[in-house]
Amino acid sequence: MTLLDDYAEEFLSVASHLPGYERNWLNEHRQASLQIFLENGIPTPQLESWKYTNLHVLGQRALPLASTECLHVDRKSLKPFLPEGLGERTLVFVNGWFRCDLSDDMDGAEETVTSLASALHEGQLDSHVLLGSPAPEPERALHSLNSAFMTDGAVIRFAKGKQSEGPYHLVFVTAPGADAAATHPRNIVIAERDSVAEIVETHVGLDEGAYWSNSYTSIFLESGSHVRHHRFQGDSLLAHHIGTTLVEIGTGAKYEGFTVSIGGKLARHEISAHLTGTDAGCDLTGIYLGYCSQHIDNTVQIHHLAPHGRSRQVYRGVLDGEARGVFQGKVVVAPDAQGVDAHQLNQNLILSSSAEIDTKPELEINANDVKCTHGATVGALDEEALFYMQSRGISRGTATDMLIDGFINELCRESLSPVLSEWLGSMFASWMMKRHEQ
Amino acid sequence: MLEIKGLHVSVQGSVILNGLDLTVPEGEVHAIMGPNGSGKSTLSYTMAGREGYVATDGQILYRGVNLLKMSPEDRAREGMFMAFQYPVEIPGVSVLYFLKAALNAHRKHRGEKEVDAIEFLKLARSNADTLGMDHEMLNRQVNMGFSGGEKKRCEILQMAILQPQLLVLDETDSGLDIDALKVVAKGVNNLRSENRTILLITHYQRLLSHVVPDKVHVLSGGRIVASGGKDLALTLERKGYAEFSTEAA
Repeated sequence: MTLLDDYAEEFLSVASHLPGYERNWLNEHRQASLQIFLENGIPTPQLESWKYTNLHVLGQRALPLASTECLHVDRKSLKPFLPEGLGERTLVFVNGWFRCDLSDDMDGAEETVTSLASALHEGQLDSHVLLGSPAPEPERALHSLNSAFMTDGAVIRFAKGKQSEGPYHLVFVTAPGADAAATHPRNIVIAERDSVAEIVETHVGLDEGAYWSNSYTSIFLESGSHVRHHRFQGDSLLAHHIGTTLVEIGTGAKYEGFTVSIGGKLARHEISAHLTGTDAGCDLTGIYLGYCSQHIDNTVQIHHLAPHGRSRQVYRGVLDGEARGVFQGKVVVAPDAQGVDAHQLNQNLILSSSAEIDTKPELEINANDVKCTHGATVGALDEEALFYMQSRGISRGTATDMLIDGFINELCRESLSPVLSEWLGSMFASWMMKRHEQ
Repeated sequence: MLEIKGLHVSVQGSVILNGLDLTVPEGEVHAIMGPNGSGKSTLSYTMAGREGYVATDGQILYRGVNLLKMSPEDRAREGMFMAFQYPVEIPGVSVLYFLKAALNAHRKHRGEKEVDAIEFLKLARSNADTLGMDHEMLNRQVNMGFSGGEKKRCEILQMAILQPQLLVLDETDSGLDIDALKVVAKGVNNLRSENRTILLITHYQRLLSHVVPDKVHVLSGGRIVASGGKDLALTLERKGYAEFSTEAA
């Protein structure tokens, strides 16, 4: 049997356990999505947007849905991933399913918050509008696989004109023992007109398992809304992580995305943003840290579809050991999207002679009155700065850490609240320790 | 006491210092003056331990220990401080964080307890006040976007906090206006003491009007070619280095 036959079979065996099985439209949606996946298969480097990231390991055999039996996860084991002072709006998902017992109580929240599984089950999502139509492109085959198998996630609707008090934290945990299994979480966030929303999305593993996380988050910003979305990926160093964030930004709305990737044997986070209304803004900041033989891919596509949009991408990476980074930043300006202002910058620190980065900016401009810039830098640590610090008594090792810390924390300080900045700071510090142990 | 004996240094294969001898007793301030290309910066970088400055012969003894055998950070922890001609920008690292890391490295080396953030903030602020520096500067990234004067002030602040015993100022006066020059001079004068050794390396005599040296040495062709009292600096200012250059040749 081939890989694709295995996936077809896996679907048949789990379909009746997937949420919303009783709804015909949803079953059709899942089946249509599966069909598209089966037609395309796992993306290969022959596809332009997968040129630098080879998923051949995922192509070797079909990975079944991660089990939900005998999971030993308690709130204490999640502590490192729950920043103190973030507030009590944490939703925890283990192996792709919502865990009420590990989550905060959402009764009384101003926003409509529910798990995807119950939304589908109770018919709160009564059509595929919010799920999107299955995308036929081979590049997006893994989104289709997610649409076929999606289990759970958060559905949050921020009410019109309201400002959310503190962020919602969506924590996706893979429990120990999920080797060679997959999770397909799916989140839907709607920021209604003029609302102000904040979400933290965290993906982690509780052991060094060789699992696959294939997550998908859609965020819809209605006119005048403002969404801040912070995404932290610290999965197991044996895991594959493919994450997709799809954003639609309406008139005068602003999306601020902050994405951090430090986990995964192979990790890819793809952001696809569509600025559909005039004066829409999309501000993306990314940090990726890799060591050993990690492969970390950040792929961004910004589609300026309306006039006077602004977009900014600033991605910084630090690569050590034999790690490989990929940055692909594409900006597409539609013919009538005049007055667009788009900037892109990718900066990399390479700490070892075996580490590498493939950085590819791509501008596709079809309007004549636009301002688009892009830049990429790749360099080693500044020897002058290291010597200066050493000449003040700081050891070379500490000086190196301070320069790396300065390089990445500058972006945190600019974009994050002190609580999040400090939490990420501690994650970076532990990355730095692990790097030294190598 | 600082004793440099028969120091030969090559940079990228060319011999720059060629048998330099110099003795600076504890508690004294000595100036080293010399024309461009005489080896002034090479001397200071060699003392600080910069990579690429290869001592092929000779010694730099400070309190009897050969600095040449130590890493740059150990030289600093043993009490040496070089004020840079061009202080380096360190992106993403605040002055406060940088100085605290440096001070604690020194304290750890001496077997003392590290200072905590609050204690250090007080220390840094009071030193900033003495130098007439805005507290806001402590939160800025080290030397990033600083004016020439601010960079030099920041060097003086570091000295004041680290309290080095052996001070080497490499053309610290270059590019400074008179007000900044006075701040630098005051900072150095404050550090003059019986147990401190200070070496001022400079092209011009103007800093020496404010920090009066005990002795002046002329560096030319990679060695000390003349030594004298503070008046030697004035003579050099008047007559230039020509006579020493020929002598060296």
